[in-house]
Amino acid sequence: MKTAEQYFQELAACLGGLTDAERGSVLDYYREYAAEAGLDDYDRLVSHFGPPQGFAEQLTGELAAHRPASAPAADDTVRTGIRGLLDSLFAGGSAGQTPPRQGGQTLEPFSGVDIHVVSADVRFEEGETFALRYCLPAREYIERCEVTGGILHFVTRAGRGGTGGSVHLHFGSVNINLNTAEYAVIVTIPRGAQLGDFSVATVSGNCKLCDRTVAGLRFSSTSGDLTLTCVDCDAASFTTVSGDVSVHTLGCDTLTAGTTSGEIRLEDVSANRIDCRTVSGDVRFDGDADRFRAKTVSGDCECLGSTAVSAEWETVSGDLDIRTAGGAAIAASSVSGEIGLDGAGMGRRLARPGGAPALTLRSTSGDITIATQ
Amino acid sequence: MGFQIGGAILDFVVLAVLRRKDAYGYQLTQEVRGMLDVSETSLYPALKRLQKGGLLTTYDQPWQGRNRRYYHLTEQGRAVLAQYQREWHVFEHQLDDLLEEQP
Repeated sequence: MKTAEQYFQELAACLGGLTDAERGSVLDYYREYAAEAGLDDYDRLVSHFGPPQGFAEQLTGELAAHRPASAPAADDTVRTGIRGLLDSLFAGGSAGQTPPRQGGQTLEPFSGVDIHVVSADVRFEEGETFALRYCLPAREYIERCEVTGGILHFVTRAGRGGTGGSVHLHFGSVNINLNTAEYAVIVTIPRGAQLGDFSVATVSGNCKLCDRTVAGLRFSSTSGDLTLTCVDCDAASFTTVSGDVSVHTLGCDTLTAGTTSGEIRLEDVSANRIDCRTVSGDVRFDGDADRFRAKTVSGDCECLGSTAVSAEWETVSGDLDIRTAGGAAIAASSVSGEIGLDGAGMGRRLARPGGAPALTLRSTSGDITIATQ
Repeated sequence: MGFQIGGAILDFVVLAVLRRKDAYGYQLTQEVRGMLDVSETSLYPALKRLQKGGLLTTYDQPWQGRNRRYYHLTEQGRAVLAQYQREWHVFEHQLDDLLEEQP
């Protein structure tokens, strides 16, 4: 089990944009906070604050947003704040909160998608015609929306002042919930349409795709999550910083997934080649692949799937929990972690001959647990 | 918290809590979250901003083998809080009027 100190070390590493003094102050504050709240191990801290990477991004974002150019003029701040709230309540939100940007249109048929958005979610649904509708934060502007060469291009960019959010106020018996808009870009595609490459990039928006066959699938995000369900494609590539990648029932030739702290969960995935890399995110694989490779720094790895040719798992401090077919050749080594095979301790190194596939496990300090079936 | 007034309201609540008594970070967070739905990352920047503005000071007190950092409202902070209260009363009256108009 990872410790609270490991959490704060990872958090410190993610706060590289701050000065040493600022970073020290942040860590002192949240160490004290964690001690008071009884958050005494890594998992509790992640459960409370989120993964270090995402927590650091949120924190540095807020620090940058609230950093005064000079000493704050408190009186002005008060008036601006209170009047902003008054305006938003009495004048339809024109001062404190501009309304979201909404729209939609029917589109020419397309086979490919190239979407770049900031904070909106991206979803795909079935419909009678090719169409698109969106609800964006007021400060997220549409830079491009067109179908050219059979590709839908939809690109937005963030204006100054962030992209909006929500606030809930409770004063005595007064309970105010402002701005509950859901920001999303929803693409409608008729059933049976022949689809080529799909490429979606977001900063914080999530992406969902269900029940589709596409040629290529590419998703990249900073903190957005990706969820795929019942999808077939030739090649899939997913990259996030803190966003999770969740795949349920996917058939593809090659799948490449990389995150910093986001988890990668592959369930019922069938592929010729799968390659997963994370820093602190966990990797879970259940399905079948000819060749499988997973590499983490501190993320745990769990394998319930089968491989026909080879499987390689490598971590520095994460734990490896592998369940494999009984005839697999196993080569496992760890510098300081324990290796267990069917409940028996095997020391630091294990080499067991067998038929295909070859299973290679490497760890620096994490434990390796292998169960054969 | 991208809402434009979030910072001012949060400042208001933090100052009001500290008018009653000095408080350490976790304690302050619990009290503020009883009124405002703020994230775990909102309070720390607010405290730093208020400190830089001279509205708060800090001091450490030993507790169970470690230090607790307490936040204390300065005279300048009290003056700003009084200004907040005057503005708030105006808002409160207008809000009451609005709610009474509802069918």
